[in-house]
Amino acid sequence: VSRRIAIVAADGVAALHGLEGRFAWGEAWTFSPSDGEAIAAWGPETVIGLDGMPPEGPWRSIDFEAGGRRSVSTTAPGAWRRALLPAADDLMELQPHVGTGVVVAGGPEVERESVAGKLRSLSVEVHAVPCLTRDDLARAAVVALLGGSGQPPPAGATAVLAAGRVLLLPRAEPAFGLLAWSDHLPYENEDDLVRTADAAQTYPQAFEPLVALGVLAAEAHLASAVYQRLAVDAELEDAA
Amino acid sequence: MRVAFLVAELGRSGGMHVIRDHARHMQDAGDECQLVVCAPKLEGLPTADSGIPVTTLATARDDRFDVAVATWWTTAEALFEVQAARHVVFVQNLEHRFYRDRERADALGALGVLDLPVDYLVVSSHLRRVLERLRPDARTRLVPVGIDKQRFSSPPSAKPAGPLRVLIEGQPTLWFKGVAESVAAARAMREPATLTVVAHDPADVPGGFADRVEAGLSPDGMAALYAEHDVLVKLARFEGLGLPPLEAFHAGVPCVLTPFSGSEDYARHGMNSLVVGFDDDVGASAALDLLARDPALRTRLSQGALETAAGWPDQAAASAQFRSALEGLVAEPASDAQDGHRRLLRGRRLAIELSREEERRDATRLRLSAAAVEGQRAEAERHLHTISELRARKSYRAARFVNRLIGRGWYE
Repeated sequence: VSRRIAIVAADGVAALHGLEGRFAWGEAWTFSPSDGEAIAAWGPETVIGLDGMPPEGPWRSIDFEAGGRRSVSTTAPGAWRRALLPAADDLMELQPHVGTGVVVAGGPEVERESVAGKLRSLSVEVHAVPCLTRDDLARAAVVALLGGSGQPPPAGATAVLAAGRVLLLPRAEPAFGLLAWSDHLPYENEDDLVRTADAAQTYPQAFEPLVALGVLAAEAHLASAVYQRLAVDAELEDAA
Repeated sequence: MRVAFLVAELGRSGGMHVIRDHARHMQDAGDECQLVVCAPKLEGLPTADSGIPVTTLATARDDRFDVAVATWWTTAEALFEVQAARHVVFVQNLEHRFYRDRERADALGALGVLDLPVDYLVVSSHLRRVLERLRPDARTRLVPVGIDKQRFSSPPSAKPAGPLRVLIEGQPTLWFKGVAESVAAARAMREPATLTVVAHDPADVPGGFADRVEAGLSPDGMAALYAEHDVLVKLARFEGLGLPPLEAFHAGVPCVLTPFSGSEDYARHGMNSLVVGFDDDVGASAALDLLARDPALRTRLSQGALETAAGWPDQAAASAQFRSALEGLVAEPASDAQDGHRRLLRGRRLAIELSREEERRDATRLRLSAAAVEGQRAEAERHLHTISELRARKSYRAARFVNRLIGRGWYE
């Protein structure tokens, strides 16, 4: 079976969660939301919208968190499937080129700046950004995603793991297969985060097992695996 | 070859079955194997287990072997107490993952096994990738786990029509097996279904957990159970390989499973299984409903399962590979896994940093607890003060006097 899957996403989202290439199961290409005509010309069987409803057309539509008929969500009631946004496969290319310092991403600005300030006071190189980008991943050794405990991992978690960076998360529940202390470091409060991030960037070699296990944990969340699975699910559902 | 298998106990776990199978096969091939029990308390130890001589670490220390094989992380601590030409760790799972937050010391101990200056045998390509990534200096050989084909292979029987027969395998008390999640997914189905749970110990299966509970089955019993069902559900968090889906495949029974580590060696979504994401409760129920509604899909997946099973090695072939891997390690010059020393020191640093962090968190929790106790004490004092004030009031004293007059004990 050779299937065609179109991914629709804005550039920033596509860089972390998109998919391009040919695989054993078929091929996938990523389009911007304004590329409706190009998508129609290519003729995919399945179109997956990552940051909104995909354009309408003669294909099976799947969306992430947009509330469509086949909507994938970590928490929304009535979701068709539950999953984290997967990691773009090509993020694996970043693994050998580990950057330096800590990126603090997401959360309210005041929290982000507070964490960044504490890290700077420990002489840690830190970048605080509202949304994680591929460039942020490229330049960091450690990425701390801000968010609430007892919730699914914040967006970008799978991307950080695939890129081979040390990942710090608020204690996640459900964790969607991620294992605290094995593939990522959980934190309970700001001070935990700061101290753990400091240790991880000070002794990167000691945290190598965590990074290696994180990369392997990301395999189950790679875009090539997740989008194919969702497309097959939709096909089987329609065929039943 | 003279081979010492260092074991923690002579239990009935799946991992121990694999060790026994390999040891028996090697004995049949003319090798001399021993099960060296490394447990601290040794009572009632048999002289042999399944025909394999059993001995203690104290006795094994005076012996000399070609290969000493650690089979569980605590047994690796005794590995270099046994004189052997080669020291090997047989990795059937990443054992640090068994432990939860409050068992950090055990988790770090188990993780440390991957830092040793030894050779590694692993049971899945996932484990091989872990070792190749963590220990490119060490020799790692993949030795698959074989299936007892005579027992488990059976052509798919024509099953009677009716509700979907769902089988869930796993010990509910083991958090990473996802048994409760599997039961919940089956219970949330829209289509009719019957639910069987099979575990090691029935005492750990709550009443009303499933329509039918089986426990402590022999391999023959398990084979018969697979053949009775339409689908095996396994929503594990991780495995080393995960043998039950492979056993089910041999009976032509497809699986609904999470993409747990190890499953990538045999699970193919839409071909022999339906793979659902971790924590995707709606997806797992939908997969089961789909199978219940679509007999043609069940048949197709069943055929795919049998094809996968046909390409999987049997026990004899797998044990022959195990033996061959050990022979190869003995024949080749000893590994120069010097990086193990560097890794051990790095592992020690990881333990220091994480323990330090845990101490800080404990201290914070202690401070918070102390503050909470202090808060409760202050609140209790405030209440006592309020009560004293009330009692001092004239109205209270008057009410108390009236109550005494009419013989009631209120306000006392």
